Amino acid sequence: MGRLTPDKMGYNMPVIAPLYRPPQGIVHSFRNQEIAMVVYEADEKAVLDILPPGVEPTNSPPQLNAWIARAGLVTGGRDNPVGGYDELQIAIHVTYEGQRYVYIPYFYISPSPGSRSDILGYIRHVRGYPAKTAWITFEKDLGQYIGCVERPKRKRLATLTVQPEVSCAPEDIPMGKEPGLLMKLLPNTIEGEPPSVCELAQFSYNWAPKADLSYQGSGTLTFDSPTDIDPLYKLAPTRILSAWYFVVDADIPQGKVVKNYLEDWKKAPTKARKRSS
Amino acid sequence: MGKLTLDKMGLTMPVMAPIYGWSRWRGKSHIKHYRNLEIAMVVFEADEDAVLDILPPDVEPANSPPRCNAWVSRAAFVNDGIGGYDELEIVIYAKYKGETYAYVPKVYVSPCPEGSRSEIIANGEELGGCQPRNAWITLESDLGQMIGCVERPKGKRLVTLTVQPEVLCRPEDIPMGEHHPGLLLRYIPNTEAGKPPAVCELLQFKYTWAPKINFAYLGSGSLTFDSPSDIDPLYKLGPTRIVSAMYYAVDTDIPQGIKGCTLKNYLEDWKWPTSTS
Repeated sequence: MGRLTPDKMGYNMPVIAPLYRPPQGIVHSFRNQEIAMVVYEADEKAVLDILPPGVEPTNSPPQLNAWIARAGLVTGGRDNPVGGYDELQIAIHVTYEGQRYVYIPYFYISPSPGSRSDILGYIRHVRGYPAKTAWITFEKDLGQYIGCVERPKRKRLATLTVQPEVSCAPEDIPMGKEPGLLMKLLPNTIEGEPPSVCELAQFSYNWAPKADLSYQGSGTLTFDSPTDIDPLYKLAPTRILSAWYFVVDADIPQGKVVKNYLEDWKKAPTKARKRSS
Repeated sequence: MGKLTLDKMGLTMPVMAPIYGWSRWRGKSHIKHYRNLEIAMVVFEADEDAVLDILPPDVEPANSPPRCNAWVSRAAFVNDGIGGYDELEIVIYAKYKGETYAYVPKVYVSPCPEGSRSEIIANGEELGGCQPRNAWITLESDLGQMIGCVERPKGKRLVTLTVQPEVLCRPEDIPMGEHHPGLLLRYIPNTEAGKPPAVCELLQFKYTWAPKINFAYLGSGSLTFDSPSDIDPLYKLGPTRIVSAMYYAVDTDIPQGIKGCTLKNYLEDWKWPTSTS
């Protein structure tokens, strides 16, 4: 009989040679992650449509961050051999049970040019990030940083620009002060059954922007070519509040479940779910 | 408060624009369609000790010495948001409670065509438990032979598989198909550190299988696990004897599981080890 008993299984699949190692304290470490970020307001109805029950925008109108980042060095030793990648992250400033968070409804990743990255499996299955693959570029031109997101290639979902103008204190950057919040849902193998995992997961992180590489400036954010497959356009800016360019070291330990929706799910309608819009 | 109630959520994350599984919002089941899937396959025998080490408890090799398949395939088209990919799949013919299955300990995938992207990693891990990893895979025709190569990282040759198609065969001569349902160990880690996995189960999956009558060949083949690595220890399954080789094209549909496809839930039956390693 097979000998692969649970004590011999790895932390994830393939269990005989796992994609990433078990967490030992710090799991997900970024060094010199370069970020261009725009803080903006969006339509309240559109935001409410994509927030889970019990979660509400902290501000009215809702306040969001969009960033494009380049993580050339993602480590944790053998804990986390995921490889470098670029990302687009959208974060909504929200409140859940009186606690403030940044809720992440959209997250796109792109392996560093010419490489492959195993970040997709890790970030979805351990953390619950809603990660999808895309084509992301992050470049410097004419004194501005420009990040572009395409999915599929040549379908421009997002263009973000930041012109760094004046240095700022790391603590001025409106990120890193609130824990992250994620809607982690992993489907059941069996059709029609409740998902295997359906939970609200929080993660905290250590966040150290470099004092000599923190800038405030002007920025733009456009969701250029709308599609309902990736409906970022529904979160389009109604007003740009601020723009930032900075470099940061961040360590993200494993998360914590703050709400398990599976009990609620059992009470939800059993008929095939229909799209609401 | 947020309006994204459970009945509005998609099959998987991002729950308002899932990475795959849009068929569900069209009132249809999620079924992966492969059309003209091109496969170069080698059937071989491997060391019994090495095979037992990677089979879960209660699963045993169907043959002595154990018989395995390795194939390199090209799926140029896969529906429902997944995208085409090349693949290396290893199969061990195994028995569980008297039934014979094709147990899949490892799959490597690579977007197809080269230069594109595919979301198969998320789908394969979440729904199927087929344990995919990214790699650099090629499948080419040269000098009358098909040659499949797998590198991870690029330049580190894990596998070279060749098949020289020689004589037409009947589709039923190919030792895959409905009479060999697949068997998988699905393992999803917990959000929280130090807790048992969210999912650890043995699954069977059934599929339709229609090799093309005029595109099924028997021939000569070779399989080498060229450059050993314990990060990807395929070499432990190195062939002790090549049994047969074939090259064929097939249409196959893989539906989401149905009731009864979970053969064993290891979370219920097993005392989980206190440390994951």
